[in-house]
Amino acid sequence: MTAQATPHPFAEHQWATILQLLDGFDERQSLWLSGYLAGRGQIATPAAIGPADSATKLLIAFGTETDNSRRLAETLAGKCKAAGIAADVMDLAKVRSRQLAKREYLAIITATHGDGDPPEPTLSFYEELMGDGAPALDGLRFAVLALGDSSYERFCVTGQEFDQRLEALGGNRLIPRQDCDVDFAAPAAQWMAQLLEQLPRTAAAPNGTAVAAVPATAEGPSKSQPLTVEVLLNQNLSSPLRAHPIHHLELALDTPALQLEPGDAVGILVENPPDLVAAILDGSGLSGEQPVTIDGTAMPLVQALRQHRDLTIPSSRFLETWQALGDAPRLAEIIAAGTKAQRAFLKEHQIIDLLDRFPAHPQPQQLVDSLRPLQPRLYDAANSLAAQGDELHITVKAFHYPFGQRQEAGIASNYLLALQPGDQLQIYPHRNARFHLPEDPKLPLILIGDGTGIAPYRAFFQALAHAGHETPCWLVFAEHSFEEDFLYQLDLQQARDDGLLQRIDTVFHQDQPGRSLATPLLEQAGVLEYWLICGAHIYLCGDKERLEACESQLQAQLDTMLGQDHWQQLAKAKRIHRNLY
Amino acid sequence: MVERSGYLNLPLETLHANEQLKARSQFLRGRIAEGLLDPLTGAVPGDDPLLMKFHGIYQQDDRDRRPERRQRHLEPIYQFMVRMRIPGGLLESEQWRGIDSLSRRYAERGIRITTRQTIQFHGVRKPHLRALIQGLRDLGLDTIAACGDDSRGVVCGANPQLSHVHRQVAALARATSNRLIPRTTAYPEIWYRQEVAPADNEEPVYGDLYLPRKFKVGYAIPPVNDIDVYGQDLGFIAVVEDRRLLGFNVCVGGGMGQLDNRDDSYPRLAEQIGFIPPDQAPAFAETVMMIQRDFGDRQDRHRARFKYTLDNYGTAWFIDELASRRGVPLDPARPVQFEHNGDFLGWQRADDGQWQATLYIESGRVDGPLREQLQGFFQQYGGRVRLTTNQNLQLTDIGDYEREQVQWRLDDLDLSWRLQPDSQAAHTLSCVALPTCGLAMAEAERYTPRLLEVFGRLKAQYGLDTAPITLRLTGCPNGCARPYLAEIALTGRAPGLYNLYLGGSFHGDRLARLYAGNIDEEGFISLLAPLLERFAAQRHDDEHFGDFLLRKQLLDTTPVNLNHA
Repeated sequence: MTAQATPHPFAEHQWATILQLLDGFDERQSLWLSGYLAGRGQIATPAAIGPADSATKLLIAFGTETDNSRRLAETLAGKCKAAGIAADVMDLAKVRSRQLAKREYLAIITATHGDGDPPEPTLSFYEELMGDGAPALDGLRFAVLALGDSSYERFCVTGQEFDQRLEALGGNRLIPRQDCDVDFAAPAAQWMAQLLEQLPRTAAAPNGTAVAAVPATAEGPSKSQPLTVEVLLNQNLSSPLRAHPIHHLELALDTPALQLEPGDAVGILVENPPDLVAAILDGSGLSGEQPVTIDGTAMPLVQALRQHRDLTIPSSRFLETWQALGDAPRLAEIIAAGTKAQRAFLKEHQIIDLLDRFPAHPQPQQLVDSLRPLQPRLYDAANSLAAQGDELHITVKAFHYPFGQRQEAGIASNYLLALQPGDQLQIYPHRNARFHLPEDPKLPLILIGDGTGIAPYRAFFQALAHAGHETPCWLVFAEHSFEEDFLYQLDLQQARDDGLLQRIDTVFHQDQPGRSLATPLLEQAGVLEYWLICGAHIYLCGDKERLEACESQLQAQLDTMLGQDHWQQLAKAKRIHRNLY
Repeated sequence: MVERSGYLNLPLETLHANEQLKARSQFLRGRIAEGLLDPLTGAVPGDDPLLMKFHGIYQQDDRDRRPERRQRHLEPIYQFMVRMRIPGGLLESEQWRGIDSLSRRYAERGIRITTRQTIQFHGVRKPHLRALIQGLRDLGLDTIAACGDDSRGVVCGANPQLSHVHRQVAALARATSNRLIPRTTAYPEIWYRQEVAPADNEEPVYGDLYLPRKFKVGYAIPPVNDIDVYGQDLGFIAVVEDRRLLGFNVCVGGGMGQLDNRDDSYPRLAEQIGFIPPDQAPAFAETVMMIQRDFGDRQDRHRARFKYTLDNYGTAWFIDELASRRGVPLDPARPVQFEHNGDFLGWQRADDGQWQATLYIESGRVDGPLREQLQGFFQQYGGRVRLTTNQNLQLTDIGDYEREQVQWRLDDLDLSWRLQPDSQAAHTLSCVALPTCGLAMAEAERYTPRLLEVFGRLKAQYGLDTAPITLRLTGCPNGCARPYLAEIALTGRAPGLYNLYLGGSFHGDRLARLYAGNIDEEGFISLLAPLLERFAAQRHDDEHFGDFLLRKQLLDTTPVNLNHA
């Protein structure tokens, strides 16, 4: 075989130079270089599963505590590359069992920890795969390399369990499982050689794959035609002791993909709590089974109340209906007193209070027509669909508010916090163009966020990393305590490793009382000025009151430093982006 | 045949990664100062945690909470163990009070007295490190070289019947520690934020690679071998005649750590090689340390301890090398005799008329009610304190006229039972292990109370309640509680599973041997019961359990389940 016969992606003069260099190397140098290039390839390839040809690519997934399995996985990836086999390497800690269903080839290299336990970082994958909710894996062809220590009774058990489980879920074994003792090098190499023989070669050069464009469909899901999605995970992020916990929800997105850019939100059709529905039915003397019509669709009253009507805030129409229904001179008085007095009255009463104070017996349809429609709630997407198209993440904080003598739970947040994996909910995309990333990925970003305001920034980081940009980002984040409430800390550390997060300032109120979101920016006013000279865009996201306070402090400072109206000019140049709630 | 040119002549890139890290560290600075200010993590990023060990600071995390934290997208709860340098374990009472107050402000789980006669704090968070270390400085204490590849804290045994000898030896221990610690000004720069002009040669003795591994020096005063002198890299055994310190027998090459999966890894007893006059001890220690610096393995860290250097090159070679560096050969060792390696609990009158009282502290942990009781006690205590290598607390230098009052206060505070505890507890050691130690594979400190209960019942069954047996428990094979010198030891293998070692001597001059691998509590009971039964029936007067097992050849006839069979 001549060197020229090898298909390669280089220009002729490049190829000549490469051959010349290679000729000068001894075996050791060549070996080193091949490992080096394979390693470089691994680093350059984003860890997330690529969009185009991920199905036929070999997924090499490793489970490790000591890094032996990781090193073997990387060795295998290098060998695949050399053999023209497309492969991804992923830590099992980051693999979801659902993803396996979309794969054709899988190699698992896993250690067993101590006496038969899976390596600790892989626990969640292990539980998913072993659990009842594991996906069917009929199309999957797999191979398992198990590392262990034969001085333990339950030697290599994790590898054995994966091997059996993958088969039970419908997978086919490419080659028999290999169990390795602490001297794993030789059997592992043998297993790899066998495996390589079973895998298909891709003819094309590995770098030549085109990125498939997301199909642009005009008719996606909308408020009127929402998409039904399944809850995959509902995880408390914040301190378990907090009265207002903050949760991370992961929702499964099947085809077609939602049109969502980082910065966009989703509308969520929420439901009223069953006990409130029951109280409203009791209060109006209705059973809930009677049919009613909402926007031309017939449904039982109970469903209309649960899903379609606002059961908290009364409207003036409700007052009119109730006044017409019964003998309530007080209601007539209020209606007669004009809109201002009506509004004041309505502010002090929720529906349930009015039912209690002014008992009446409406017809089911009358009740439904007197209530306001239940509004969907918007939540910012907390992940980038470009980086991971089959999941949508949102960040939800429990909301409670005092009303008169009682504490009321926010309808939407408490509905979302109570969802369990497997539950379904309805969503639709909500475009928020003013909070998108600048077109030019080189422009620096100053990201200021409070609590759940971190969510869209997480999507930013994922999108930028996925696109391979190294946009300089400066995050200023405020929460309660460093140790328990540093929302998405690991994701932010990833953003720093990706070269994006170049500066970070945190304000944890419990750890350092007296500091606010603006404090670190004002303390580093010179740096702030420099970033703005470099064309930085400023993003503000989170609690309206706190972010507005922060903005006015920044405005005062910059106007003093850089001249009157400086802030206004930044705003006019669309370099200030607000997402406040 | 081992190449004798020494690892220091090899190209740096062929040495172990830790050696390269030390070389790059600019004499232990690394980027620690920047890492302390990094707001994105409670850890110190990159390789700097390895350098921080040389500063006596050990990055750890709460392993119990790792899975839950990862699910919450949070890093582990990073925290630091801070270990002081207290040569000989001697403290003034004001220092104890200061340490107590610092532990309340900056640490979790109180104060822990270690098996190397010092104190460590656990659970210190990154933003508090500087304040803590500056607080220690104000008490006249530091944490230099309490961990890392350097000379660790120098331990010193005691003998109240030779109190002036003890004072002399303790002063030598302190001088030895001061002589052997690193000289880099990184410590005051980073922790005290002092601007120090660096010397031209920052480490005249260590050089920029420091030692290949830790190096432990200890002084013992016979007949008490409380410091386990045969477990030290370098041990000095006081030779006393007519109540006068003549000098020291020196012994070299002890060490506990081993790996269960390597056959060339083992615990080793130090060998006695000769005698030196007292004042030469600190310089002698430096010479031995420099030989280890030049010849210790810098490629294979598991073989880098001094004990392996001695076995690689041979003791005869070492004695020659020592003689050529010192210019004179060693005098022959003198006869010495040890009797036990435990602490004598309770009151003892020293030969200078002063009293001392040794209080039993389980696993060396001073926390909860005990911390409050001791705080109360120290409010009106004018004597001194000595920490023991058996993790106990000794109140020393108590005048005759004060003794009664001290006793009353101990009674009032419900501390006096600690002067006469269950004799088994006083002969039991355990390391910290879970949840903070990164090496632990099984519980140790948290399992100790239960193990003592189980073992106590077992002994009682055969009428052995009052027979002390050294019992040591560690969470991994590395040997922090010196398990391989115990009569009975358990070293952790996995949650609930231990290797059982038997047959060390009561005074710490014989290694225990592996008796069974991967046993649980039930296995421990069923294996020990028949041995204790025979011991109770057939022991000679005052015969110790380890010696009995050996005499009856009970260790040789039992099949051993080796972990790496």
